[in-house]
Amino acid sequence: MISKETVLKVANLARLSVDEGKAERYSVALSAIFDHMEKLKAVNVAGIEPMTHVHGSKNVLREDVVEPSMPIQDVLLNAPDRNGQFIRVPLIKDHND
Amino acid sequence: MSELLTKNVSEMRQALDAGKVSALELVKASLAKIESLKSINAFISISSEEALKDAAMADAEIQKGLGKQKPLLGIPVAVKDMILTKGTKTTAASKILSNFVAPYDATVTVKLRQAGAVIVGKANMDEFAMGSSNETSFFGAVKNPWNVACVPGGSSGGSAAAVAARMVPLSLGTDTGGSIRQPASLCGIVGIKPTYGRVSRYGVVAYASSLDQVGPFATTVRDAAILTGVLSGKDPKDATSVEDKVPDFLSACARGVKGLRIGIPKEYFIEGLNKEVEKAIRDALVVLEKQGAKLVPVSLPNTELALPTYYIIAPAEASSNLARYDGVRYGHRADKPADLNDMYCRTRAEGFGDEVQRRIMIGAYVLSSGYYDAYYLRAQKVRALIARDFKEAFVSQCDVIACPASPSTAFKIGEKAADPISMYLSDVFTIPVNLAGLPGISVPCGFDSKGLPIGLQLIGKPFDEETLFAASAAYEDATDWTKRLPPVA
Repeated sequence: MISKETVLKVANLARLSVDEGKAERYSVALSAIFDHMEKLKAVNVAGIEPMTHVHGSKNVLREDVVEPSMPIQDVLLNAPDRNGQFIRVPLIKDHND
Repeated sequence: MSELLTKNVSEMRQALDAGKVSALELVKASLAKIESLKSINAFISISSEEALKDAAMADAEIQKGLGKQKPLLGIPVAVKDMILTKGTKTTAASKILSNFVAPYDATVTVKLRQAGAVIVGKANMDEFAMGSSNETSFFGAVKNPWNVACVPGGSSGGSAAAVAARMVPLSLGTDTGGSIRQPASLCGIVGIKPTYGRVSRYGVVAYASSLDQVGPFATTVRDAAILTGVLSGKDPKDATSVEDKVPDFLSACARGVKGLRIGIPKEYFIEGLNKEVEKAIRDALVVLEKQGAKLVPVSLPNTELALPTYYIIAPAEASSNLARYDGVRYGHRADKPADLNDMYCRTRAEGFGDEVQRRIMIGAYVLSSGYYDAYYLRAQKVRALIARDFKEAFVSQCDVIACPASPSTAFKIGEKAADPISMYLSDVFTIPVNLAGLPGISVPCGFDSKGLPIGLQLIGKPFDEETLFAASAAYEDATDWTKRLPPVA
């Protein structure tokens, strides 16, 4: 069972605003989904390496070559709010902090 | 002219090179068909202007005889709206990206253009490719061309419906847990998920990076082979793409199946599998046997663990990948935020639909401190067991594995929308293939009593798409399923 409190904690980690009603619905829905994952707990995974890559992982390096970057106007094309060449965001700290 | 749209790519290319039709006429016919079948809702955006320009350029190239070098010259193609196309909207079917204009082309888009294809529009899909019915799209559900009361499957439902209804002969989809093979099956067309690493993911909106792969939809196996050849190859911009020679997939279609050992996994013929689907698959296996293939019973004992494993790993990767949608640099931003955190939280709650938020929550939970080992780490270990099952079957018992692509035919719109778990079960036969990183194809193999299509799934060894094409083409040649058209086509 995933409690409403856990839902609110996870929602905060995921940066999703969730009101009380939605938290209760998530608590029910996620609990049902996680019930289906219980069967994984019975599997013997002793000595099994976790699979992180399909074809085995190896580091991929490339030459450090200077290449043209995307033009600034293209980057700004999709900005929700801007000021000249800059993307505008809300205040992170209050002036009085 | 719309008659030409029912032909395969080779026939279209011949007609173009022979001057029987121009690329402009073909592309106009495709755009007219898309317009006349608007109610299917297969497209999120249509690029008429660019398409007509590209078609005129293709005609100039055809005049110069470039048709021999460019396998898709003048061919209209649809691209899933998960894949960036410079200068046009790429929304991932989400409100959060509903106004996002791609500032660059994905590598697969570049490859399509280099092959001469004309992109006519961006196909509808489940939001961020999360869904099995194409009902989670911010732009509305897609309808199945065989029965418009039914879903086309998902997540690449628009790409599948557009090809099934012959609006275009080819389209691109993406497949993270079955999102190409399941809609191909439900729409009665061919769809292949290449081996993980075969096709570049650069410029493709990320869902679950260790599982995502781009692949084609086509009306015939040979058309799918042509497009797979165009898309494949190492891309320096995607470190997971693999340096491996791209074989001639079209030639592989002529190999036949004499002596081919086809593994039949007993774990895929279980309770819950629709009886009519099972019969069609068994009949298809008999056809392949008559062609000279040997049917071998195999066992993939960890199959039933694939679904819970996937629904830990994919949401975990998604919660991380989708953290980038924060309202800062692009996409939707909530109005009048009180502060930065308020902006993040409201932007994301407003911008993402229910299923996407649900998967982000699952992912954040399984990655959170205290649950990581019990869920995420354990799922990665079980994933290794699932991959090992396939490896062992391929090492000594069989060359290819055959099973259904989907446990049922197309279901009614709305039928499963309220029950996430029954929706998740739609991908029970396709998910193991993504977890193991293998190639898989769905080929039409019949219809149920309601006239809805059924798909045979063939699963291959890593980077052995050739055998999939050989077996699929042999089956296609012996049957006429891929020649049948839905009522709207």
